[in-house]
Amino acid sequence: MSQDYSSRGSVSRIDASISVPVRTFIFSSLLWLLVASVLSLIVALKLQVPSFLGECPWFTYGRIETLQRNAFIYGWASNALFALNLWIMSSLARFELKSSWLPVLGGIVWNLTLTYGLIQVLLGQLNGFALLEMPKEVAPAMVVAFLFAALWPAVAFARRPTGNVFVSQWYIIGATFVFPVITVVAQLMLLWCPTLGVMQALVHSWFYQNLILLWLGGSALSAVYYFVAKESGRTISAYYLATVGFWTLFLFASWTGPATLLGGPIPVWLQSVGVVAALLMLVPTVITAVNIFGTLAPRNGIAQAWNNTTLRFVLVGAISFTLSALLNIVFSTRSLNALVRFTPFGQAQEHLAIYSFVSMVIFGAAYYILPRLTGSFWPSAKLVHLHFWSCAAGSLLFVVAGLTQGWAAHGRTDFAVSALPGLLAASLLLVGHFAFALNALGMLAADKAPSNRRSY
Amino acid sequence: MSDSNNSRPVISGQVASWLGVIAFLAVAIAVITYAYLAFRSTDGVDADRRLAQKALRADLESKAKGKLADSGRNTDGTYHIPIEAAISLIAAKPEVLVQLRQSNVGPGATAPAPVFTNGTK
Repeated sequence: MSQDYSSRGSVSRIDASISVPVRTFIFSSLLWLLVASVLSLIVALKLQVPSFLGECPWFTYGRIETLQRNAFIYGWASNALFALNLWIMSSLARFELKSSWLPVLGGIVWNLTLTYGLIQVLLGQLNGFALLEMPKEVAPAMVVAFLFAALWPAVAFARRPTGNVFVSQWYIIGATFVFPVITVVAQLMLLWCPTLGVMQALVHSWFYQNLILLWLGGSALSAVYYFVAKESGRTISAYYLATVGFWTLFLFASWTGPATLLGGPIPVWLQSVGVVAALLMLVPTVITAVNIFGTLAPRNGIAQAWNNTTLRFVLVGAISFTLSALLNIVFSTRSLNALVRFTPFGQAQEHLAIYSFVSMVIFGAAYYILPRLTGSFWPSAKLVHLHFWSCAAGSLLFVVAGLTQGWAAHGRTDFAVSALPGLLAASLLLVGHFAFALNALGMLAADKAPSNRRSY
Repeated sequence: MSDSNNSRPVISGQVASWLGVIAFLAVAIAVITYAYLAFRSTDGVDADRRLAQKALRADLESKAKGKLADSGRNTDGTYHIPIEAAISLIAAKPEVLVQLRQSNVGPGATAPAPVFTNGTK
């Protein structure tokens, strides 16, 4: 982790054309990351000391935990992925954005709507569907904002000068189209014209799995493929399999919802469909692992990746993705699922996917993109190290503690014991996120070369 | 002399592509929404069943509440009285409670009979 804190010193025309929207998204995502990190610490504290902030109804566990989750997914991850998808697709498709005010407008509306929704949650206006808790009037505004903010990668793809399609582009296009469809359909079937009874749980599990695996996961996988090839200077190993990996991921991930409802009051055949789909996720998981680790493993590539800031984060993300997918596959089987159901094991699995995979990849991408976008140096190499080790240690602690406690719990969770590593992990993550935000905001503030453009 | 060939399009190419993508998504969402709403059960069977279940629940609840406030004879031969009356009775004469307990743990008891029915007896 030594060589690439600096920029190239100038900004390409493509980067300059998307500079304003990408900066807007990154700036927003940084603010939401800090908010979510502080909320995460409060949540961890409340698990340890339930009376902490207990007198004010605004700060009850249910509301704070909901706020944290929504701020993290819709505030931090989604804003960052808007930026990441736009930047990667513009680079691959040689796309110069002409109407940059449209995605900026979308980003502003997205963040204002999210703020309004979270204030409503704080005031107690929430429902029981995870990641759909905000009042139902919020969703239409967010979908419209998404159309303004996040559809530009699809425009770039449609207007690419050559017929070549890279695997990163497939994932971005897939993820971009998934989000509005699943949000509208889930809102319609759960909040506007609700289905009856158990169908609601099924629809919600479908929405949740799509959101995590396809919107967040698909976007992050596009970055993994892009940066592994770009930074290692190697061709993706067994590239011909990547097509199969993409299609199988998008085919099977949608069907894994019922596997999260094992033991619930849904028809057994539906549970079996979910289990089979979860087992079939082995195909894209293995293909992705072959593509990524097969590319990096030969000729001492892993060690080289470890010495590259972007690739170090991306490598951790890729390992987390593989581990998370394998755990999901194994613990979707009925007998093993029965052992860990309703325990911190599930939270740890989710953390592995959402944080250790998606967020670490976003961090790595930011270390690559921001210098090229701003033409500035990263202000502090020490903060980069602090960021990596705090986040890696915090994430590892959270995941390992959750998995082991969940496995040991077997239905008798001791909350006081299980909360302690979570508190330490949340503190470490907060430190890491502040280090990252300080560095990134310092870079954005010290931006010196928006007009110093060179043609690519 | 103006050159009509140099006139700029009202909508630029990128924005036109963007609107095309939105139109594609809108059509996809509209088809899904129509399919859901069109094939949704609209004959009121589910609604009627839910209304009947609600009425049944309300009826059972009112009967249960009635037992808490009325006195009368239960189907098993025991009696129930309002809970306030039961509390007053026990407060005035605590040995009633002891007698009740003894009468339910006798050697002849074949099954554990409830001491209280709906909180009263």
